[in-house]
Amino acid sequence: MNDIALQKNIFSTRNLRKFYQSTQTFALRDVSLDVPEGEFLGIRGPSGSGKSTLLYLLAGLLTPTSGEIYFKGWPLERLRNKAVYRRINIGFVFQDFYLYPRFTVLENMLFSCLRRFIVPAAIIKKAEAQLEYLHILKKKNVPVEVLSAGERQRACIARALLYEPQCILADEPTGNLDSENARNIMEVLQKINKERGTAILLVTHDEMVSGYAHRIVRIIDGSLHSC
Amino acid sequence: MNILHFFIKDVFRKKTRAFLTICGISVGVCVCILMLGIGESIKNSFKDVYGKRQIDIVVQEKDQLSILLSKLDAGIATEIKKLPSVVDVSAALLYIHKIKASAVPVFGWEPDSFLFDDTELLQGRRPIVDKKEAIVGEALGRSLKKDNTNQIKIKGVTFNVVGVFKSTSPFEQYAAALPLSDLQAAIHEAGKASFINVRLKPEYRIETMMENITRELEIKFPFIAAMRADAFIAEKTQFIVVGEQFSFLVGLITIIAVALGLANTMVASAFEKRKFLAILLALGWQKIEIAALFVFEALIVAIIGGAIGIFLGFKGTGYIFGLTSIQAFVPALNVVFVLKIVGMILGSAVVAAILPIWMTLNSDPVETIRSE
Repeated sequence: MNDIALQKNIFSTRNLRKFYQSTQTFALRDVSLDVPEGEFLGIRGPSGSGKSTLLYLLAGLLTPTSGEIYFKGWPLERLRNKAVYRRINIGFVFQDFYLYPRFTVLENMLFSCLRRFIVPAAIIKKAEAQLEYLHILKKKNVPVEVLSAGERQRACIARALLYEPQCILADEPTGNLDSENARNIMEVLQKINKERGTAILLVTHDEMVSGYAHRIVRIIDGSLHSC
Repeated sequence: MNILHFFIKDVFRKKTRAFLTICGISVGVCVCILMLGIGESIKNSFKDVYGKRQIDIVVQEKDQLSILLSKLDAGIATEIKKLPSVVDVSAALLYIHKIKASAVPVFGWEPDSFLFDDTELLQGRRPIVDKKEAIVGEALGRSLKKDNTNQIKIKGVTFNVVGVFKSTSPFEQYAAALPLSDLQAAIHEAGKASFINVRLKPEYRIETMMENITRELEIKFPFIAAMRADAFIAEKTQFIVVGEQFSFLVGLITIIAVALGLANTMVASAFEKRKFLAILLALGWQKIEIAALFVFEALIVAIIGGAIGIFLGFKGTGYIFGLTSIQAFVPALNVVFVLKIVGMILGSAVVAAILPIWMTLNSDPVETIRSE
């Protein structure tokens, strides 16, 4: 595949391998994957198959043992500052929410702005706009531990959306939710994908994802299989 | 909304832990100030007393280690005054008197001397010769007032307190002063003085000239030892310097203990927040930014604890000592000294924060996020 083709993809991987020294296991074996911009990709597979490893590799939190990762045609290994890459381009949504207890929903969103002494009013406005988009603006001053699981996951998605990333990496976002809340969250992610064109890579065990994703791939024992 | 709002909220998220850490730092800083500050206070007060009174040379008995044991003929003062370089002299007798469990310095000063002239009276008047009258330092005055008495008894002779004087010296704050002849009579040391303070004419206040004058005095009066006032202070405060070194060591150990306590808190905090810190990495924070966040947290705790400790060190101990007979020995509030303490606290906070955060940030963030 040539460079122009790579640039049309938000992510591309070529022969990606990840070997964990600590467990002496291959989490990923020769994974080659193209994710076009604006795609909603579902990644399924059993526990320990390497799904989350793929997400963390794409985010630059892990370094591949071999193979290449491209973000919009740009090799990830050549990025000098992966933290800035993550901050600008990627939104993370986790199964366990990872919201900071005792802090309000808005404060949790603004944590990522603490590099500046004063959080700019424009960013607060932006954060409120995301909360409104996700219908939890009323809860902005509520400590996160008071929220329901569904509301917490919405707060987590709102945090991921703060910098309007080009891609959301969601690691089992419905794993801790009941079926109704899980459906709601999937609808929210689908809405973001459709209305904003944000690419979504969603790792899940859940069969339900098929109804929302454009495409599903499976990872079994570290190897990628198309469905 | 600013960064401090987040930091302070984060620190006080665990109220008990924050409270106990701040208490630990406060006590440590308070101890440091006590250990180092009191010695500093005594030394400064000596300098202050001699400096303010413009004393250039101090004369005492030759080969006498302690000024308390020094005995001179007070009449030498008149002889010294005749020297062309001398502008004024004042003989003084020192006696240590016991009031309850405390040692109270009692000074006998010549009635018309500059020692009385330069003493600032807060209330009352100067004692009159042969009337069995005395003035007392502020701290001793308070102590006597507490005991509901207006008299001090020296070797069976009762002296009425007729005035209270102000002094920057902790020794003088808890001291009494009376006319020289009255003290000589009371302690049966007629015609004696412990030391003689000499003021030189301004043109003779040059180190080499003063050295020459001290030598001249020692030649003229072979049984005396004459010293420049600054050398005299250095000699008399030598015990403080030794004590100060010991205090510095204890202070240093205390600060290390404070830093270890703070480090312990920061280790607990880093362990508790390890997932959150890994999430921050995933959200696009750089390691250096997370380290700064953590250092700021430690600094906030250290600053609050340090501020309370400094307040307790200077004001609290002053109040506690005020209730006792050692009330005069409160630490001196000295800007350089406070800055040293603040520097030590902040430095220890940074060190205490860096180690745990370094350990946390060097662990695999993905492993941390995945761990139960």
